[in-house]
Amino acid sequence: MKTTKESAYFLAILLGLFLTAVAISYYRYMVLHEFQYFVTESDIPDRFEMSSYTSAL
Amino acid sequence: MTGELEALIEACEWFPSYYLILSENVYTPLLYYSYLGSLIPTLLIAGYVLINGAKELANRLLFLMSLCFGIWVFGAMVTWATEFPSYTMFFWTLINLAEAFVYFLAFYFFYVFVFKKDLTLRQKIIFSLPLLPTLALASTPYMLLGYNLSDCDRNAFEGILSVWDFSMEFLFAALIAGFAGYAWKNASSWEQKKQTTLLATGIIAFLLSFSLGNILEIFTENWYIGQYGLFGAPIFVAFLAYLIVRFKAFNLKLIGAQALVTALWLLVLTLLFVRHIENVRVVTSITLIFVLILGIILVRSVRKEVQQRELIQKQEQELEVVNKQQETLLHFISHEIKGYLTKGESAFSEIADGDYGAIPAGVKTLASGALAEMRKGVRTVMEILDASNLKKGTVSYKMQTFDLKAAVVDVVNHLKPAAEAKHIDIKTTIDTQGRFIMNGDEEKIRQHVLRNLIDNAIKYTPEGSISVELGSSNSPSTSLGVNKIRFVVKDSGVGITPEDMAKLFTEGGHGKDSIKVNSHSTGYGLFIAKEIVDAHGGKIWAESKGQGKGSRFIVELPAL
Repeated sequence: MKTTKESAYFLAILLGLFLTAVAISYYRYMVLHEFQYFVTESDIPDRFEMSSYTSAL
Repeated sequence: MTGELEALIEACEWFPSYYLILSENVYTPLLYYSYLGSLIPTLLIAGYVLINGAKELANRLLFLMSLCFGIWVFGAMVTWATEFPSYTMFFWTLINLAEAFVYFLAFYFFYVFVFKKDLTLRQKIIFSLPLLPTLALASTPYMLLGYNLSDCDRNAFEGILSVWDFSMEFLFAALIAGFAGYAWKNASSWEQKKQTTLLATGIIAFLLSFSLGNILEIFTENWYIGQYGLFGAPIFVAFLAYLIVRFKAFNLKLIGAQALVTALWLLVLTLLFVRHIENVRVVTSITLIFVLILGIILVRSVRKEVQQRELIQKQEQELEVVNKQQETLLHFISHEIKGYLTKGESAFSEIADGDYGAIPAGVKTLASGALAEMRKGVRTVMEILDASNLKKGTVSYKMQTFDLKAAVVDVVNHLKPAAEAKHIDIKTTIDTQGRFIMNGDEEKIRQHVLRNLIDNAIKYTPEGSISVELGSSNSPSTSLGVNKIRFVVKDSGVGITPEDMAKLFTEGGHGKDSIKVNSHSTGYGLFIAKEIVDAHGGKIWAESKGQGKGSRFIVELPAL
């Protein structure tokens, strides 16, 4: 089954979204170093309770 | 980063990493570096499949899926090796993104491969929707809450999105299983059912083993389990190898499949003999058994194909022998019949000519009719014998210089009475400025090419007209190439359908309805004409606008 134009565009859009997400993560973590450090066990928030989370900003 | 954090990181005494993945930080080096053993063949095989059919959707999807798997493996290696928290955070995000795409692409690939059709646009949008939260929230605390410095294990801490990702992965695995069940139920043959089952089992086993390590890792908080993700990798390579055989992406010999499986088996086997990896033994043993089973299936599948191919080759050889025997028999029978017919022809000719004295008018008419039938019979048998000799390559050509124009005029004059009997007019157009001297076997050209084509035109034209044209490249009024003579016979007869056109010059290549028009047709006439024209370095072809629209036969021969 040959790739139709529709599928090619669809895959290209998905690839674009993937690369965008990667680029944003790269910028945030590798360039800005914008993330939280958990120094002790008690610092680690409950992943199911986001209100317990304190932003790195 | 504050001085306090820097001091904490320093206190962990991590080793430096080189080229992102080389580091003493990894816990079980052999297990860690054997990731490469899966990554490289995976990418090579997927690349090869893509090169062998770059436009095929399934090949592209397989390649993209392998690429995402490659990104996942590489990202996982970096997270294990690196001493930089920012690298851990970025590559951890990257592997989560890649993992989601592996699942989606595996599902998409499975669908296209099994159903041999693409998803509709609506289906594509619906099935890709689960990817959106992962894509949109990739660099937020929903994906990774932060970096855990509390135990010096160099880990990121995953957010609520990990639960979504695992749910999505199970969803795609369930979709594959569901579609596999549907395809199995609707499969028309046992072979198709087997193929679907194997493909679905391979792909689901790979996807689940891939996730299982991560799920256990999250819920047990035992980060060593993450490295067990390796156990999905050889399955994936073996699974890819199986697909290649099914795909027929390239001609994989039996020995190639065996070597591939053996290499995989050894790769996993070595892990059992390495000290300090006790924890991995159970998982490795399972992998080993799985690879062995898959390997046996793969080798048996390839062996079956090779055996079938060998059987076909053997049958082909036997068929060739039988064919030759039949040809020899046909040649013998034709030769014998020709002898009897020639004797009969001679006898009737003598009776009709009055060699045995005066005969009554009724007997003379009878003898003349029988003579004409005998001559037809001789021509038919001669045609079959000539075709047989041409095929065997036992025909010799008496090459000499002759004037094709004279031959054409002669043949047309000879056949005119037959055309007139059907009230068909033969119009001859010969380029007066052309030169038609050529080197060839005049008798064969006359008999099998000129006569055959004009005779056919008469036979296949119930009413209307026939035109015979002769042109030469020597003439200033022609568009022919250098040193060429073109002989054209055009009629307004029954025409040729596109299906008949394809087998027109083949041995015994009767037209579908030609036998209705010409019951004496052997189907060898045009085959012989082509063989003879080819032997003279010329070419012959036909043109027709279809049934009932007449036809045009063109012969080009080299001029002197």
